[in-house]
Parts: sequence; C-alpha cells; structure tokens
Amino acid sequence: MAEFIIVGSGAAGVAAALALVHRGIRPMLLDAGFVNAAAVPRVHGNLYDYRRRRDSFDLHIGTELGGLRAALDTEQSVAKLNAPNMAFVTRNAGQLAPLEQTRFHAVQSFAAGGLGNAWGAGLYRWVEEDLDSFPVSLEQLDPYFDLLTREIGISGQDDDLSPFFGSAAGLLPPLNLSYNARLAFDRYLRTRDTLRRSGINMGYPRVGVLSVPYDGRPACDYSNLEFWQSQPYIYTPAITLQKLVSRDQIDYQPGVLVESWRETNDGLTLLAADVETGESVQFTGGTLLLAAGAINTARIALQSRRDLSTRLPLLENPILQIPLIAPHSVGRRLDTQAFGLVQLNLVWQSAGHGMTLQGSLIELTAPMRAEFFGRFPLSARGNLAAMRVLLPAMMMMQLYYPGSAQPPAELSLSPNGRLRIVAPPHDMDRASLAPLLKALRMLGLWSHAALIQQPPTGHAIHYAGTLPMRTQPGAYQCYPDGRLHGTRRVFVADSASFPTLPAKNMSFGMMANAMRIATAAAIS
Amino acid sequence: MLKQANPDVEARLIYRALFGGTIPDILARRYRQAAHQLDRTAEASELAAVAHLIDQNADLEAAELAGRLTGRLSLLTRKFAAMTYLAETLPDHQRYFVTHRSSLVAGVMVLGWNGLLTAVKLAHGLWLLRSVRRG
Ligand SMILES: Cc1cc2nc3c(=O)[nH]c(=O)nc-3n(C[C@H](O)[C@H](O)[C@H](O)COP(=O)(O)OP(=O)(O)OC[C@H]3O[C@@H](n4cnc5c(N)ncnc54)[C@H](O)[C@@H]3O)c2cc1C
Repeated sequence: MAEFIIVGSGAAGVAAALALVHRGIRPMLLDAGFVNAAAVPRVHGNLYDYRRRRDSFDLHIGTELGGLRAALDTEQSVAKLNAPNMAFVTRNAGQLAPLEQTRFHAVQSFAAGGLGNAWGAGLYRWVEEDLDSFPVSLEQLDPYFDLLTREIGISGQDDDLSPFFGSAAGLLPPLNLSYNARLAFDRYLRTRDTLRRSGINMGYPRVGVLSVPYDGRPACDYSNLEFWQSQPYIYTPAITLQKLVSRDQIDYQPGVLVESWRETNDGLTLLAADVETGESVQFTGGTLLLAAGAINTARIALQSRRDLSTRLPLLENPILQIPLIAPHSVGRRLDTQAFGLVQLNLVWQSAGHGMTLQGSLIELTAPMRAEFFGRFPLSARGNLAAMRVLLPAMMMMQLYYPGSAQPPAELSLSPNGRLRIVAPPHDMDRASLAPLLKALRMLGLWSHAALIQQPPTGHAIHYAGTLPMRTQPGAYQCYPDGRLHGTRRVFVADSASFPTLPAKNMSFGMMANAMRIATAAAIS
Repeated sequence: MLKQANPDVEARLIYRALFGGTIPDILARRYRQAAHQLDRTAEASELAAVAHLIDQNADLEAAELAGRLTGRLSLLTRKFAAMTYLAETLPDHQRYFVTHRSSLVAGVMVLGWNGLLTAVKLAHGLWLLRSVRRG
C-alpha cells in the first residue's frame, strides 16, 4: 500500500511528485510510460551540415513513414509529433484512450514524461490577471514558480513582458535571436513607445531551454535539431522523472493504464490494466493525485462513477497562425545557426477584443522545407524556389486567445468506452487583427488577413477545465486545494482543475499548481 | 477494375516535374512505398484522374498547380508533397531546398520568373483538368 499514488508522469505528475519528495514522501507514480524505442542514430552538430553529409531518411521520415504524415493524411497534424524520434509521444493513444471527436482534434500522450517530450518549453509564470477566476492567489503559487525555475533552468529576461510573465528572478540569460527576430526586436526597441500606446509589448520568451550550461546539462547549440530528437538543453518532464527514479525518491511503475478508483474506509483501490497484456492489476493507496492530462483525468473520473450521462466542459486556447515575411530578407541565405522554436513573444492588450492575447514569434528553420510544399500559390518548381528564397525571410506568429474566447467543448463517456468530445463550430474573426498586422509591419514583418490560418480546435494542446476548482464545488468540480468533490482522498493535480485558461502556454502554471495541490494533499 | 497509375512511371514523372532529370533508385523505392499508402486510401475518381494524366504523359506540374489552386485533385498534390519530403532527405538534393548565399536581387528575380511560369502552367493545367473531366 502506497501512502500517495500519482497517475501520470507528464509535467503535472512530475511536479506533484517533486512537491511530495520535498516533504520527505516517496510516492508511487503509475504511468503507461512509453519511451523512445526508434532506432534512429543520434545526430551531433548542426542539422543542415548533417543533411549535406548523410541521408536523413531515418531522422526525418522513418521506415513507418511517420514523417510523411502531413503528405499522406488528409487531416492536419502537428509537424513535430510526426518525427520518428517523437512517435513514442503519441504511441497507441488511439487504442488506449479511444475518442469520438466532433470539430476537436485532441493530442494525447501515454509516454513517460507525457506531451512535454515534444513541447516547445515555453514556460510562463502566471500573474494576477491570469488568476481572475481561480480560487487561488498568486502568493500561494509564487514559491513553487521559484522552485521550478531552479529545477528547470529557464532563460529569459526582465523586459516589457515582465508585467505579463511575472518575476524574472532566477532566469538564465535569454537565448540568441535569429537574424530575422533580431531585426524585428531592434525595430521594436526603436518604435516601442508608439507600439506600447496601442497595447503592444514585445520581449524575450521564458523558455526551459538552457542558454548556458546548467545543472549538468549543456547550453543550446543552435543546431536546429529541436524538431528531430530530444535535445539535452531543452527541459522536459522526463528529465525530472529520470532524476527522481535514479535517486529512488519515487516508486515508478510504468506499463500501467489506470481505469478507475474505489474509495474504501481506510484508503482507496485503483483498478488498472497492464498496457502490454491487458491483464487487470490493482493498487491500494492512501491518497490519489490525478495527473493524467485534463482529458484522461476526466475519463478516469467518469469511469470511476460509471457515468454515461454527465457532460463535462473542456477548455482549450483558440489559436491563429499568422505567416510573416521580412521583405529585406528575401533571397538571404537560411539562418542555419538558429534556435528553431520561439524567438520572441508579443502581448497585445487589445481594446477591440477586450482581452489580452499572446503571440509567439516562431522561427521556421527547424521543420523540413517540404513542410511548406503547396503553401505558396506557385507551381511545384515555384514552391521549391520559394522554399529557397522566401522561407529564409519568413517567421510564423502563433496567436493565443484565452479559453473564454470560444464556448467550451463537451466531454462525455460513451457506452462503448470511448470518450466523446464535441466542440461547437467556431470561426475566429481575422478582420479584427488589423491593428496587430499594422504593428507587425512596423517591426518589418508583413502579412495579410487572408493568409491567417485557424488550425482545428485542439491544436494548441492546452486542454483544461474538465473538473474545475471552485470555492463551493459541485459534482465533478474541485475544492481550491484540488480535492475532488464527493471524494475524501482524490486530488486533481493537472489542468483539469483550471476554471479558466489564460492566453498563455499553460504548463508552467499547471506545474506550480500541481505542486501546491500535492503539498495540500500531503498536509491534509 | 480500379484504374491506377504504374507506380514506377508515376515516380519518374513526378520527379521530373519537380527536379528534372532521372529519379535516383533509392528515391524511387521510397516513393513507391509512400504512393502505395496514398493510393490505399484515395478515392477511385482521383486515382483514375491521376492515372489518366500519367497515361497521357501530361504535364503533371501544370495539372498539380491547377488542381491545388482550384481545390481539386488533392491526391496529386499529396503525391508531389511526398516526393518533395523524400527528396529533401538526400544529401545531393539539398541545393533544391536551401540557399547558402544571399542575394536579394537574385531572390526577387527567381520569384518573378517563377511567377510568370506559374501563370503559363496554370492556364495549361486548367485545360488539362478539363480534358480529364471529359475523359
Ligand atoms: C508540439 C507541442 C508543443 C508544446 N509546446 C508547449 C509550450 O511551449 N509550452 C507549454 O506550456 N505547453 C506546451 N505544450 C503543451 C504541453 O506539452 C502540455 O500541456 C503538457 O505537457 C500537459 O501535461 P500533463 O501532465 O497535463 O499531461 P500529459 O503530458 O498528457 O501527460 C499525461 C501522463 O499521464 C499518463 N496517463 C494518461 N492516462 C493514463 C492512465 N489512464 N493510466 C496511467 N497513466 C496515464 C501518460 O502516460 C502521461 O505520462 C506543447 C505540446 C506539444 C505536443
């Protein structure tokens, strides 16, 4: 019998484990736990040097042709998850947790370390405004943000975005900017007063990517390999998981799919299945911390009550993708020595929308050039030419809206064991982005409303709010300390407990909150 | 019977439309595997249209462009995309994808030239698609 059982080893699960370990507790951590078993030789050095010397089929495509998914499937996929080295992140998700989706495209992970194995590691502290509807204060979270900042190694700096991204204490220096990002930022600094008057602020991102060696890990080498293999300078929850396992501070049990819990007088029993054999297994424990991701945590809650009628809300950040071109860089050589993910952030306090939106300005140097085939209204050879002369001048802005910008999806359990997710139809208004496009032009980055893409709902991969925290919770809601209403020993540690979703990458806030909840569970 | 293109001929023609010249063996082999997957899930009408174009030794680049811009024949575009992905993994094809020398003037000229070619190809492609519909 374990005193504490955590389900899930993603960002939320490892943060909860870390909090318990800090209190001298050795929790059991149950997890499906897939790891990368692809036989892809590790690439050292720079992606583009490597490709000039070696056939990169194994690195980019793989024998199962996963890297060709964007060409082979009619459905839009998340490019990074198609890399052979990333296939384990979503392995067997459709079988282990089948979904019936309408207008929603969920990405689920059963990997050791969860979705964080593939993330961009944008890790942003919450500020007061983000917690508007949370029954939690910033003071309750700040100590955990500080602790996690030390654990992870986050780069960034104190700049115009600090009011939105919180304290810069403990940050490592920011990463080097790519050529295009540097020019845009220089222009921002020159036009800063005008832009800030229209509610636009720009600055460095807060990323769990090392700009200097830290905690035994090397600094970013600007190799553009971020899409293609795990890089030791990018923090992933699997790093903390490995550390906790190697120090024997947790009892890690991979290969387990938890189905439901049953509370007893003196604890609880978890009913689960062995992932490989399908055989039933049981675990008994004192307190349960659910951290299986907002969707699967809700699934376990519904299955525990065999509830086929309740519909739970599911929040997600609507996003728009804005392609940008820096005309002065047309025909310029590709910046092959860049960090291939987020370069800069922009926060827009939009009077027109009555809300704060966050944009991540992303370099396009890491994905394959072929990813852009057909995106230019030119012939096939014209597309190849555009890859050579236009792509080096292009960046992309991913614009996040708060979860409240669209009605939540509904999630329920079907009699056939599938989870049904239905999102309402929702078209984001692109015309209202005119002031943002104008500001971007001032930064030397051009676009047009007609070019803005709305990816399918679910592509932000920020799922939350299925079992929200309330001061006075009802069924399928949590108390402010994360305890699920109607239970004595079941706590929700992941983003299922969020009442709202700010326009911000959510994982850092979720991790701090998971630590707070695990600590509360330990005390209670 | 389902009308389908000969995969070797298809690989050769798509490669030629994209890069010119003869397709390397390794690329042809990999492309066949990808095309097999694409064909398995494709609609019969699209398979027949692609097969017809290949039988006619038609200008596939023109047909692909017209199909893409008019929202038809997505199978052919996906075949072109698959070939592009696979070619990008070969060291001697890097020059088609990445420029290591900077020139704004050359860049603008390349784009201008391709813009003109696109207009010509589009006109031809629209005519080809009409003939596919009639055929
Ligand atoms: C390409 C990409 C880029 C991203 N970039 C960012 C970013 O820059 N910043 C950011 O904040 N977020 C980002 N995200 C989102 C972020 O990765 C997720 O929000 C976050 O990792 C979710 O963590 P989690 O712990 O809630 O769940 P998950 O990561 O989904 O982990 C769930 C865990 O639970 C286990 N599990 C699930 N069900 C069961 C069960 N029934 N029994 C046993 N174990 C179970 C799984 O094995 C897994 O270990 C990105 C995601 C992707 C894919």
